Amino acid sequence: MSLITALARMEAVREGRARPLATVRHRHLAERPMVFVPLTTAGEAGAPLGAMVGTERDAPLLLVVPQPRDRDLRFAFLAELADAVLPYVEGFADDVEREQRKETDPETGKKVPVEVELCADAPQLLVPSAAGVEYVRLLGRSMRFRRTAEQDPDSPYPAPPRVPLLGRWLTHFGERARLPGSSLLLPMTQVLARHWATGQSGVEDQHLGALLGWLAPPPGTTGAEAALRAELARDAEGLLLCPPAGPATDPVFDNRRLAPATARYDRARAEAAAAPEAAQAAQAAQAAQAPLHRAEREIRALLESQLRPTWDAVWQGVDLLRALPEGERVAERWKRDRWSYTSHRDRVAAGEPPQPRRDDAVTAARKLAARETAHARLEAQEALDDPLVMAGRRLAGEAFAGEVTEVVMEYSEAKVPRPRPLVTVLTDDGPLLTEGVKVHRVLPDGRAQTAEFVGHAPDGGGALTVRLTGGMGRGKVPDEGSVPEKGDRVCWTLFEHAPRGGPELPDPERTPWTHGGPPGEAADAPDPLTAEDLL
Amino acid sequence: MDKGALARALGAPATHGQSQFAIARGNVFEARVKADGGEALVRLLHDRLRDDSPAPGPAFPPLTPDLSAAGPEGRTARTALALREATAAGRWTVLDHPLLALEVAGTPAYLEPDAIVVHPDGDWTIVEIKSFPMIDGAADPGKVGAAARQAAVYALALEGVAARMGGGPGDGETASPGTPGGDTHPSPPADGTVPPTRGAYDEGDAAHLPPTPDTGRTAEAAQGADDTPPAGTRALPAHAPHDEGDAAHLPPTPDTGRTAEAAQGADDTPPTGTTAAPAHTPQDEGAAAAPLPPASDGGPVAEAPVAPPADGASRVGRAAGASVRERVLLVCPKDFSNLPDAELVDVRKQIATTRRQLARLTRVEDIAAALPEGTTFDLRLADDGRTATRPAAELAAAVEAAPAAYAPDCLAACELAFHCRARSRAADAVETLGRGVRGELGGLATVGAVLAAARGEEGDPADPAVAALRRAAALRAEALEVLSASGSRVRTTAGAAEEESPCP
Repeated sequence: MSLITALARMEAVREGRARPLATVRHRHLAERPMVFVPLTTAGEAGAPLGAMVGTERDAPLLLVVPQPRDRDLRFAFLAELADAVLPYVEGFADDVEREQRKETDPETGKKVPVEVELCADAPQLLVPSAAGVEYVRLLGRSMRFRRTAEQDPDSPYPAPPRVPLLGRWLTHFGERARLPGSSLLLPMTQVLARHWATGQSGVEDQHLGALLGWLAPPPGTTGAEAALRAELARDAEGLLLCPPAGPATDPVFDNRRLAPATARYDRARAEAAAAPEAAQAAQAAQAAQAPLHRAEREIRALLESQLRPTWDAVWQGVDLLRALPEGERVAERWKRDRWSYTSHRDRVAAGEPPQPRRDDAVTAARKLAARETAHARLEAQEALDDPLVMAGRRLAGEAFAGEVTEVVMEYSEAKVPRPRPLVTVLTDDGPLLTEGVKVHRVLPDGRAQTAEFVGHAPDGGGALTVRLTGGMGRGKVPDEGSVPEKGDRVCWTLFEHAPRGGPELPDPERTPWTHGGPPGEAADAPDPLTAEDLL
Repeated sequence: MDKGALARALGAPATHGQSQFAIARGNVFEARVKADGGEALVRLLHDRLRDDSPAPGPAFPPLTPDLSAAGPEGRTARTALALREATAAGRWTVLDHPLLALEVAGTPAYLEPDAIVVHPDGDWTIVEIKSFPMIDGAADPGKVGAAARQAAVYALALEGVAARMGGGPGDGETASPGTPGGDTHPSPPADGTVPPTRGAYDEGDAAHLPPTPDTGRTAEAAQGADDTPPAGTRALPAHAPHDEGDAAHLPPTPDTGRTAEAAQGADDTPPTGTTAAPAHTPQDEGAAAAPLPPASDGGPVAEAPVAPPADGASRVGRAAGASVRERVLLVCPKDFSNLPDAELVDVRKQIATTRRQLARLTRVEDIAAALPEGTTFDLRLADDGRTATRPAAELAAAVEAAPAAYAPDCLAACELAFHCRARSRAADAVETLGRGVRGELGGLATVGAVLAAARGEEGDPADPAVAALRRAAALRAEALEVLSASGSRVRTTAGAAEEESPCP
């Protein structure tokens, strides 16, 4: 934690409520995001217990698996989930705009401009916490290799039609969430913690209820009290008043409420299954079904009691974030997310197989490089968008701001002399500079300008001189406004504003033998299915 | 000591707990892995090893010795014996839920790995069975790390067993260092050693107990050892009671008589007996009240003499060669199934870390000695055995007496963490915000001191930490001022600029 963040946290401790860490919103927030609050069965991998999903805060769709260890019930849940999520996700596919992009012509090898489609907007999934993001990945992995009856008529346990497709989309969302600064799938706790400092540690900030306690404590209470209540307060039965944001449930809830309810459901189901043979009359069969429906309703009510508080908390977080104005460069990052959405839409439409279990060497290296670049870009853009973030960089010696005290016009010694003005800045900051270090700043028109550090003023006192090296146009006379004037306030950074990735990587088909050679042709086989349904 | 109960009595209960679904799933999976006499487990290991060891199969089934015995001391002794036999056997052997003892801060702690596999060449591999999935060959790194750390502790305990079997550190030591010399018999020569007997106390009860509550016992155990012939003898360690808290009521030497019995048992072994009986001390109050059955004392070790001396020597030789493999077998469910998948995890780093941490731990005796006289964590449970009748304030004072360094990481591990957090917050300690916060704050340890220094009210401006803080506060105020000046909708900023101006 940087010193400036630690200071903000301490202010929060003293004031009893969260303090700002940002002055603008650094993540895109869709106009109509889809909130997804999943719950999982303790101890099982990929056995969902239930979920609340939807785009309207007043009308969440509650989906429940009464017995998570039953494959049919799980499939029914996933089919319902696909019906709820896929129309939203696919709803952005058809509204496109045209974009120019350079592509390598396969015949000539030259880069030629082509016109491609770019979706005008993209879906956005919001989950309560980082664990929720991991769960989306896990759900995606558990579904994308399933085979429907149409794909594989011999499959003994065919998946419902749209489930593998949902798996591919959730995998895409989960994978995209690993890219710093992307907003297709956002965990509410992380986004809130990015913008506000609470008077507790980062570990405790992962509890959505506690975090909101600090952000918006009820009148008359401090953030610490509200957070403590969210963490620990239990009712007379020992159940948490503020259930965990999931996907894991509270063990006390599992043991005291859910396990007996599930047992009742199992019993009712066994009786209902035995009944039709005994009672021929439809009425009697219906009577036998009644306890089953009752048991199912009971489980639904139980899960709703656990999901609804988290659902409301996520929307409360949305409100808090909406109150912040969006950062200037957020739209640019969202456009990258739209590209990502568009290209996955195309892959699905082209009938490509699901994402592989393990990336080949080139794809893995590309992803890693892309994440590193995105991370550097995010750090730079957040600082440029937000003076409070820039303050942290200035404190760390990675940027400096101050008033221009002197501008001396000089020219390079090339055949065609170029303007290389010397600019002296008076600053209180202590940037970590040595001679020749490149510094960057944003010009009024949004372009970046580079300069080189020349030296500190001989009398000390915080004045330092840089030589402008770019951003002044092509002529002998610098463009209007590209050279600061005496009295201007300028902010130079030691980091690049638009960092670029490393060198190009070969196509996967040209993977060198040192890295395992080209990937094999075989697409991933579906997961083996076992007859016994214990997951 | 039941820290969970203590935390509840203090009014800061922990949120730990396990869902019965998870427990059921874990048990089912473990049973499945260990079904068919451990053959599947050994095959998993053999497949991952890819060495030239013989594959297990119907023709070469692994041995699964029975490890049941009464009491933890009995079970550790039984485990050690089974390990010794299995090492000599030259076959695959699966030890299901063995019990190991490891000295932690001067007190023995009992550990129960899921299984230990003994290779045909006599090496030992620790097996950890977990119910989190291994999806596409990769599991949650956090969980794997936790499993590796857990396995490292087992490995350290096993190394202790190996050392005792094969001429390790236990040999050559004389009587307990904590025992006043005058009272003991002369220590036995050479092999017939009695390793240090631990004091029968811990944090909770130290104040009530003299440092060496069991002088007599040690003496008699030594006596027993004296009577055994020197050839190939090995003494097992004397275990002190592990249970905390409860022991507070124990009289200083509650079990002299029983220990005498144990020593007697050793006396009774035939003259060919090769092992001194361990001097066991009670695990807890309950165990102290009921004498341990002899089987757990002399029983398992008394079997040793049956073997002919020559064989015994070779066993010792083999045992000396026994080594604990540094890669442990982590068994997890494969993908979304309940079929087992396994991976060998190198735990050398974790072993080194754990060893260093254990060596650095303050001995429980020292912690206890620093506590005021009469400190106890006794809850004074009511007749129902659950309700604590001791006033919370009194308990809190007792807990207060024991120093604790709270950090937010504690919340994931310790039942008392919420109590410590409340204390730490009340003390205004900066560590409540994270372990790393102290790094840049120099000598400023409280939130109040940091904020005062940042405002310029306190602190020496020449101190780099104070100077950096003031700079940070000024920069923060400047940025927030820009914000409020620009009329942004961000709440709480209106008053912020004034409050935060660096110098009043």
